[in-house]
Amino acid sequence: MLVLLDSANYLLEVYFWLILGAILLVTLTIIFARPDPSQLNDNTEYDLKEGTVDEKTSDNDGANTQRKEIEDNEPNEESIEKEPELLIEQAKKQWALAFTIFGLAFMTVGSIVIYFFEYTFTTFFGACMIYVGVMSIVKGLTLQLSENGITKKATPILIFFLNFGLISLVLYLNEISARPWMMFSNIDRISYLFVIYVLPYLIWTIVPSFSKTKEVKPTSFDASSLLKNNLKFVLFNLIIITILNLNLISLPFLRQISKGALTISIYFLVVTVLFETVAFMRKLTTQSNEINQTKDLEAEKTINSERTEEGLAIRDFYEEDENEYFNKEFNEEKNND
Amino acid sequence: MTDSNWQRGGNIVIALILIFLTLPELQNVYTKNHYNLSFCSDSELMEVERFDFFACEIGYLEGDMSIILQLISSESENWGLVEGGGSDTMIQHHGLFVNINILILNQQNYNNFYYKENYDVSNIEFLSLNINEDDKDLSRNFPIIDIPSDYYFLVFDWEYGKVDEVEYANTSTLDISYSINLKHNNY
Repeated sequence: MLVLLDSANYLLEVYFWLILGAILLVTLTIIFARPDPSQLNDNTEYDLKEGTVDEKTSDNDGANTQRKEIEDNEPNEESIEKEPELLIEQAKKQWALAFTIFGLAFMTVGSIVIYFFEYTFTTFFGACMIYVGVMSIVKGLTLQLSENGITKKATPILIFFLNFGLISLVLYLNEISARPWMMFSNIDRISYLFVIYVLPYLIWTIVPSFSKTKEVKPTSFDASSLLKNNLKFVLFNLIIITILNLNLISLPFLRQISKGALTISIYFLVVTVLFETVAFMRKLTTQSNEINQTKDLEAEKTINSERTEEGLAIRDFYEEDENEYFNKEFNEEKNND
Repeated sequence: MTDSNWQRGGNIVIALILIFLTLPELQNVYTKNHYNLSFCSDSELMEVERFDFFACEIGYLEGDMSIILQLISSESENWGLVEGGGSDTMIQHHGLFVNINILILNQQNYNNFYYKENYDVSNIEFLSLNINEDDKDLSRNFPIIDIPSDYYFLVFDWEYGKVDEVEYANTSTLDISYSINLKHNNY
């Protein structure tokens, strides 16, 4: 059988590993998706203790009953806070399951298409289906990760490499593009950069994500956040190039594309730095103006209070001629102006 | 200054450092090392200074390739190939013979060259980069050449690192337009 398999097609082995990987991912998804074991202790055995009940007349039976009814009808504050979270959790589980089933279906159909049809188009179509299927399963898996965990923060990097791996291995882009970067036309360069950097981001953002926080911050495009994201992008590419320059791993396509992306991002960084510097200087000027205004107001207040005190002092010194004093003050102010 | 102001200022400073270290146009110590050396264009006007070099990255080469290298001078009257031997090309520039090595080096050899250590070429044919004169246009054609898989760099070396050896008589720059045409014979 093994001999037959060897001679028949290597694809069978690929399917085997793909299905095995898919089963593993599904298992992990189910593990993460199932409810917390601490919440499943409803069947706890309770210790029954005997008690005695004495008859007693109520002071104001009707009023107490009414109060109880009102209290029962009032919704509990804790339950109000918990409800949206529970709903989000439920929705997450449903989406995770949907992504897994959808992903598995795509992978299976894609594999069947590749196996049974030998046309270039069908091979590409099947490979695309496998790509979408794997991405879908991983998306379902990440829905179950905690929002503030390290795994969640590292997800974009994992997705980048997963996307790169799938494109290289499943869609065979690596073989096509094992050529020097300078041989590519500008359109080729843009399309490769799009497929490697933008496509996974688009796939990730189009598909819904859930947040426990009530207010979801809209994606901001101000100079500060642009610069921050661009810095991350430049550093990410620099790290990749540095590692690949060590020649420990040979990934020529990744190195070339990272270098291309680095060059573009560096020019973009120059622009964002200019924007951010202008915005930052403006902010500093506004802040210093505000501080000066506050200081002026405080100084005015102090002068006014001092003047009031001076006025009081005049009344205290009743011997002094008021007309003569105010004439003097008026003349002094006139000279100062 | 508030914390957010410090953070924003810090981001600007980091960005400026990164720009200085990686912007290809700056051609500083960091970019000349292959970190972010720009990729060669199909044709480009470049400037090479005496006791220095110009380099650009060709990219990843593998298998059978054909390479056509062509040089065009922007100062045709003061330009001409005099003689060639080995990898040295004697170019007449303003009445003086300039000695420019045109090299195609792999990553390791480029590193060695950059750090002024002994370097070699990956293919013996790269040693014959002496260019034949043809109506002021200097060109060299390698129809089929088997290249070991590696990242390759095109280098114009004008006595790089020989400041102490050569009399510092005439430091000048030379503008050369190069055009490189690569073809993968496998695809």
